[in-house]
Amino acid sequence: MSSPFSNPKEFLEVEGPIYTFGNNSTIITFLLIVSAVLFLWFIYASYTIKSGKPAPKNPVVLSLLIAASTVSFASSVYNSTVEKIYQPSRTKETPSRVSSSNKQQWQLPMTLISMVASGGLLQRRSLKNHRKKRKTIKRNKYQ
Amino acid sequence: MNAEAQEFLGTFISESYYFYASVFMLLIHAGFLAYEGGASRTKNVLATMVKNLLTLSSVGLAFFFFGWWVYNAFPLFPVSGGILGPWTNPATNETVTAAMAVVETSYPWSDALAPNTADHLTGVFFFAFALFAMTTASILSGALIERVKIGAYIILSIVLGSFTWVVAAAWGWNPFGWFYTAFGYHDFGCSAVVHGVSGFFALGVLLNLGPRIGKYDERGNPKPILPHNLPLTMVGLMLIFVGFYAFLAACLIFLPGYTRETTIYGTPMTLASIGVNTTLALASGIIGAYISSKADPFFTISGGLAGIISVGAGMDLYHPTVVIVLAFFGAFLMPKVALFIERIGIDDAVGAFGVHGFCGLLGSLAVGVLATGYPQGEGVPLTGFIGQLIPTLVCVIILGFIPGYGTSWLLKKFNLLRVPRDEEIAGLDIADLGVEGYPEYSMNWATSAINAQQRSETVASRLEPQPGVQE
Repeated sequence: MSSPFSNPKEFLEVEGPIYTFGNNSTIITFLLIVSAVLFLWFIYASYTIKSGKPAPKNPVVLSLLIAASTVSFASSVYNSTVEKIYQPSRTKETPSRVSSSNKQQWQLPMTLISMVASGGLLQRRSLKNHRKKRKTIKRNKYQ
Repeated sequence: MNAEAQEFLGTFISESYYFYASVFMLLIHAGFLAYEGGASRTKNVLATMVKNLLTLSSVGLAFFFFGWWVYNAFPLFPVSGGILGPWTNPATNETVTAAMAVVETSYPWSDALAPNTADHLTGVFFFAFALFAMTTASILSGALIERVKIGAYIILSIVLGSFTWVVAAAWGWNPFGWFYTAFGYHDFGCSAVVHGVSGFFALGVLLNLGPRIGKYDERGNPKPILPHNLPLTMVGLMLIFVGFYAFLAACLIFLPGYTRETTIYGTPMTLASIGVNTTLALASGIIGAYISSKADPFFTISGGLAGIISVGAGMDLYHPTVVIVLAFFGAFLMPKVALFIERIGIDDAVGAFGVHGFCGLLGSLAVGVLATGYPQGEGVPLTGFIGQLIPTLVCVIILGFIPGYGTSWLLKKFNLLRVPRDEEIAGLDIADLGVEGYPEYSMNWATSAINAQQRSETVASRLEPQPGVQE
């Protein structure tokens, strides 16, 4: 759940922040990093894109985007399903801000970090492949 | 200040707020005029602009005759009640009593819309909604340029702008609407209700209208038909951006006696969040489309709009970082969707489906992922993915695609949809209006070909040695 509220009264009478993931600073921090990466990508792309020619592919950024969207989608579908299952027990809770369990809080960023890392590995691999290809081409040239 | 003056001040602030927000919203229309005019070829520029201008008349009047009533009369239909009208007994139940109070002010003969010192607000809300309606119809207008009959466009604009969109708004945006009361649907900035409906309506019409002559080669591969004035298109989109701030500001509810700003659903919000999130969505959307389209100017500027539409539905709730990522994502995919549509043989002249249809759909669904679990009122379900998915599909398919396809199919059957081939080749400026947009330059391709021939003959004759003249 990205809502920091547990009942209508609490939300409708709130004095203060109402924003999504207000109860989970980890996700906000992660999204801030993604936003900064996108911005840096933009600056990088502005140098590389010329006259509509394709920019070099950047697997890190692409994997980051795909990871962010996929995981966030999967996690909210999962969370909403879990919430629905446990709905009756939730009504007994006191009307306080919903705080997800530590496990839930850390599950998403950890998954994302691992996927980003795999993106990095992919890039290294593709760089290695690229270097290998270059070497082969050079070799063929001189043979 | 006495109590009476204070009370009037509250009324005057609300009245002024919606009045000026709506006036600024008219800039969207000015923007569409420039955007579509620039995107068309020189032989069609005036016809495109006049067609856009006529939207003000067709939708403005139709919205007065029945559109405003549709918005207030359809919220309960068909899930929790019937269509409300003069035949409805207001005392049926509490909901009908509350809804009927508004329905009675929305008849064209109602004195609430006429000069009336007892009602300052119904008129400004009518004004705001009429402009929402015109904007919705203008989205369609861009997709169809250079080959649709003006009469056909007027009929389509009335169906979309004064009926199907309004039904979507009644169900998904009206506080009595069943999307909201039965599903907890949340669409603050009208991602699906306006953009999804109009984008998919346009798609349905385009299937029947067919591509412009010369858009596809013999093998069916798309060929670019370049805008005749890209700078004008860009200025147009900048005007649309300005209007969009006003559009989103007009989605805020502040009425006399209120102690806080709310959304149309009665949930808390701030005007400040619109300022921040619209700015970020615009910025992020532009860079998303810039990177994705490899700096295509047309897509880059459309990316700003794509970004705003992608976050519109949850803009009142999203943290700015969510806005940046989501707007980027929507605008990044938009050019790909537009090119895919083109590849499958649908000639959407301004990419209206990619920007409005796809991003509207995405924006509405995103609330179910990125803003889940928000309580909205007693007895109203929490925001969630299914609660967004079903109403969004109803918007884009039942109120968007099917009416668009059906109406245009009927018009096509009666040969009322598309201009004749020779008129399309000559250009609609001459065929429809009898005057060229740029008469002094003779930039029409047909005449320019003749001019080029004449010029070459003149030059050749000058270069030939004249009898009696020494070289």
